[in-house]
Amino acid sequence: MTKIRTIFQQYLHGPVPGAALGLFRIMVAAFALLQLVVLLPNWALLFGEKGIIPWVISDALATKHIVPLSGLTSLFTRIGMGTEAVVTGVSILYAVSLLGLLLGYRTRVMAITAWLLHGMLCATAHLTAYGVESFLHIALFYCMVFPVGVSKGLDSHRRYYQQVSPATITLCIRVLQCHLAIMYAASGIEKALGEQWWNGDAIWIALQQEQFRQADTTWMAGHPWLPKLLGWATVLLETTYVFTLNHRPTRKIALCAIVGMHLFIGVFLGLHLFALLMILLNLSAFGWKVFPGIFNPAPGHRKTAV
Amino acid sequence: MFGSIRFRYLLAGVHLLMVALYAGHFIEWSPLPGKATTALTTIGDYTGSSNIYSFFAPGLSNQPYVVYVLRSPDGKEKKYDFAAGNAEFANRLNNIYGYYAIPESRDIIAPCLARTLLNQQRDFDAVKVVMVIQYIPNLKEYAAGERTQWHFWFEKVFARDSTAKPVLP
Repeated sequence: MTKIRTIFQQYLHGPVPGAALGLFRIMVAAFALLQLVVLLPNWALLFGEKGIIPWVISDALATKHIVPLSGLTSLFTRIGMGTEAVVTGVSILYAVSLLGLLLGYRTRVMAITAWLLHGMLCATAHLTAYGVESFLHIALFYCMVFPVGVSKGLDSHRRYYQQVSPATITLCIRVLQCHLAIMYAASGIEKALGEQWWNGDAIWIALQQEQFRQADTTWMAGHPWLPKLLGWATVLLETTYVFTLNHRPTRKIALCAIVGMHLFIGVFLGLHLFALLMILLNLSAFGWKVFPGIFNPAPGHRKTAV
Repeated sequence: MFGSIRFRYLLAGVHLLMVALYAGHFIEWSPLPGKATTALTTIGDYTGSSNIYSFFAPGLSNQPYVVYVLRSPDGKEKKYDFAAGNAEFANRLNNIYGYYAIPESRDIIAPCLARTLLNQQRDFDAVKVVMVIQYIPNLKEYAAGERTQWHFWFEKVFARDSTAKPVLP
């Protein structure tokens, strides 16, 4: 019992460099900016009042409870602002807040703004949103509540961030780790309940589907052990994530395997942004343990827990 | 922010509990009254703790795919790729196609996409929206000689006039 308690104490209070939070902030903000640039040519089609799914339709079909852009425009139209001007204003403000978050300038305000506007944009285009938006929203929420300006930002020298306790930094990283562990466990268990993941059909079908197909992989049918092996590996990686990533001897190989799995998704299923975000989240959560040289601050920096 | 460290641990615990509950499809078996579940889900929507993570689980089904054929006033037809050159936009469009499988949604969403397309392509006055389902044989069936097939699902022609306004539910 004492041993379990010690392990739990160690887990809750073990040292985590503040740089882990700083890099988390940078990676999330840089990713969101990249996504914005990628979507920019189709921005009006996705988020505009008369886009591919007009607001009147998307609002009627809404399943989430977040206020969409139409809620904001109804406020601004009272002061004479047109819908297009509001969408443009929101989009520019979103970009500016992400830039501020990236630089760690007025970090908390920028994070709140980015999280709020991202939520509204997603609620507006919810019919076209997929996993990448859910995870970006989660990441921006954490950027808002975590003291992510503690390191590697223009705010890092501010008194507020100098006073952030090491215990808080550890707690934040543990929350991120636990969230990922729950997500992978749920995903892995649900996959394990389906026959397709055991006989290789899931990998095979995903690779053949027109929407994901990046290359001709029909040759795989001649080597059915390969999709079967990939399916088993996926289920195993996801269901054991919580153990392998928290156990020192397996941590490095497990992180590399998870990164590899997402690289596979990005390259062979064409879900580039989703894959990139998942890789960044995993590196944020566990990279500081596996690659301490990158994440640990220079000697003399105070932000490492005792 | 958020008071003492003990209070922060408490908040973190509640948040992660919600993440775990919703990952376990809490909405489907919630013992709470409807209003309480809605309130909790609203909090979850804002905090990112109300997601379900059933990616490709428990398995993959046949995939809907939509083809657009534009028709000019002189009767010429042209197949059009809505998301040509932008893989990320294509991923988002594919997300919509899932709704085409539901007849009620299809009747609302198909005219929206047709209208957008006709607004972009002013030289054409009609668009035929054709939905097909890609049937992929499993590994055993493929080894036995079966091949991918496209099954016709529905088609509808939208003329510029009739698609000028979105069809409301």
